[in-house]
Amino acid sequence: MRSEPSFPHNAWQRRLCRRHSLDYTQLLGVAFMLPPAICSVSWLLHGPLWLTLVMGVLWGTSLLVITASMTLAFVVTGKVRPQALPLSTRLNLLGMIVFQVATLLALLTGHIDWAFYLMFGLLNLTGLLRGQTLSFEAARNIVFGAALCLAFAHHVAWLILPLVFLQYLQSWIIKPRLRERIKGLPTRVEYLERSREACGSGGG
Amino acid sequence: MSQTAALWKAKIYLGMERYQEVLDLEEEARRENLAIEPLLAIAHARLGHWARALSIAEEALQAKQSGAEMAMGHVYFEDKEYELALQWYEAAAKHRTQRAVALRAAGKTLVCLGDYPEARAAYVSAIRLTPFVRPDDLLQLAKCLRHLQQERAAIEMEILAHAKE
Repeated sequence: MRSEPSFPHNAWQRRLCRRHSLDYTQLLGVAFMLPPAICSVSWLLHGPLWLTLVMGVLWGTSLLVITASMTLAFVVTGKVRPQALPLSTRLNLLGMIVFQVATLLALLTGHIDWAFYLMFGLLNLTGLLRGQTLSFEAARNIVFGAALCLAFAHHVAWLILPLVFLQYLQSWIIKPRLRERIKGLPTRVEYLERSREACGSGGG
Repeated sequence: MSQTAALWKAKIYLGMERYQEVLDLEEEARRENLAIEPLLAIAHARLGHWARALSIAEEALQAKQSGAEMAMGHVYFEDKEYELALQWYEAAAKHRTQRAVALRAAGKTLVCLGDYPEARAAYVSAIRLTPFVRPDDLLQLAKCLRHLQQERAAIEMEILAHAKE
């Protein structure tokens, strides 16, 4: 690449690429969330049965795969390398498995509304249980979760899909103020110490 | 010595600006089949062996070695070809694991190009992506802010940099 760049360094395309990078895991998150959202909206609006069914099957399949993977990780890691799973991680994982199973049961019994509230509402509320203080990300998730549940409860179907997109792309759009972010970050020494501790307890 | 020890040694020497010692590891790395070409290219570039640095970096790029784009960026940066360097740093920033480092280097390059608003944006992104505070990043950001007549924000960054040392 010896030739001069096709766009100058301050061209809007290059500025956009430098400032924003869409993480593929976020896109994957959106892909996983679309079938539940479409299934719920279709059910809410009494839309075509085939659409509700196809999206419901996709939703159920992804739940089944996630639950099976989590259970496998829980059982295998617990047996092979128990020190890698501290009690808090074990409880979190167990809670997530119970949560996924409950959503799957709601879906299988045809209670799409329960499944929706579990997946988009209660799952976001778990942020309240983590840690002593409410992080910016957890607060953001709770607001989105509440908005989604309210939209569903009041049959504001047109708002659900945009909210789901926003929820999963929010970290790309809504960022905490830089000063707050810096204040919340550890120093290099603190970070190294924490990493060493994590390695020492087998979780690193 | 484990297989990757030479690689880590090269990284550490590079960080300590002991470039000749990085080059001394070339033979050892070749024997152990380790890909340290990007680090060698950077060391050559910093020692002023520009042509050698470029050929090694291009080889690393062809072999799709990790860090090859960063090495190309550093090689062009040392040759004061800032537009080209920036282009390679942007390419490196597409890799998730290198994004913070690449944006930091892009910020430095944009300062050399005199584009302070963009340099500020690059440093802000690098700070947000790094899991701990690097006081030097905050000081560099403060410099950009000062150039943009944002004296108060610059002072604030300097205070934070000293508090987080």
